[in-house]
Amino acid sequence: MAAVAETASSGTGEPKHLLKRPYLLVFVVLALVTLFEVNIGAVAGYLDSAFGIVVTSYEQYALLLGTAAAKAGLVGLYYMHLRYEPLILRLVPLAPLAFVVALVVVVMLH
Amino acid sequence: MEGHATEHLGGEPREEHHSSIWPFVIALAGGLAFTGLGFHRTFPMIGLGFVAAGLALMVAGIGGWVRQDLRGVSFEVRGRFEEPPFAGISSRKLGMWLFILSEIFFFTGLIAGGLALRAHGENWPDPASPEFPLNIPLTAVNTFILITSSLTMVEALHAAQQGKVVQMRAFLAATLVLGAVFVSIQLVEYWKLFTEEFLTPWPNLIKPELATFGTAFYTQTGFHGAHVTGGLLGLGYLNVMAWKGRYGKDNHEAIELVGLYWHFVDIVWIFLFPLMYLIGR
Repeated sequence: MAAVAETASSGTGEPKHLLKRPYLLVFVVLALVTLFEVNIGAVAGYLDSAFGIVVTSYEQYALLLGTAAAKAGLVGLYYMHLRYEPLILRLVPLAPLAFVVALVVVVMLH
Repeated sequence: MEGHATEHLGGEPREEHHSSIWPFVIALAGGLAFTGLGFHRTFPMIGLGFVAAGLALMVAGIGGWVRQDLRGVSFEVRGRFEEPPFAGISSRKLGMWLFILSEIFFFTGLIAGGLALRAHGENWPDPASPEFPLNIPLTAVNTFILITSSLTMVEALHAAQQGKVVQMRAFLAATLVLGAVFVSIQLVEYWKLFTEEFLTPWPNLIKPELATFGTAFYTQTGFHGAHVTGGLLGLGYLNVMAWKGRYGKDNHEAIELVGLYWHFVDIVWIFLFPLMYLIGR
């Protein structure tokens, strides 16, 4: 039942996230990554002009989806406290991921 | 379901459990309204009738639920599951997570539909083009506002867990205000897109080439906005109850549950923002 004591829900016991409080740090990361996302075209332009590194539009799009997934992960892990939840509860939001991937792949392949 | 939800939280005495019919009424109302939307193109009057009946029933359902709650009738199931596989997990929290799971399916279908339109539509505006109709800087600010509201929401829960009632109320109020600002900015953006950019969800005479993009844009951001609005109702309720002294160190699960929903809505926007505003075809 050790995992139970670590849960983030209300009740007895001191949840881990009360001891470590990464909320502000997570917010700063989310804000900075969003700033990067909005300016990704300018960043790509700078890389091209300063270092000759060409980042194509499709590579930028893939990067944007990656940063979105990373931001979603941060919100889920820290703001929704999944990091401190038992494994079985962490699996609940992961369950539809196979459906998500399958649907997106089918749509894009068609 | 024997064996679940029998352990008390925080040593609170167990309350008598009253079931409520109102969530089912609200679900029925949503079903009616969506059925009406489906019928609308083929049978306009019948479709509109279903939509009107659904909306009326939804108002009645929400009103009935709030009235039941204000009368002091408790339909809270307090406690944790005792048996595997969910041993130790709050039954209400599991319920919220299962609801969020259904919402993931919903938004996945919606976003996949948008991707299909993007892949097969004849025209799709390029975000890098000066002709791009959406206001990226304004929506970037709105994105910051929504992210900030997630921070204030989780800080409200943290304050409640520590028994800091004044902080909890302040953070809950801030979350409500930030959410309202987000929806307001989105409405202003919709108004400008309709009247100045001629971006509509249907073909119009001035910019018919934007119809496919408009359909995808308004469907996805509109459903997201509706979810944010629903979250605002929950936040309004939390604020009222917080001022009435209902929440504190030993009773804050409602804040956690509404917070889970609010953060989920934030996550949906985290994907929608780049998909609709930053990524071309």
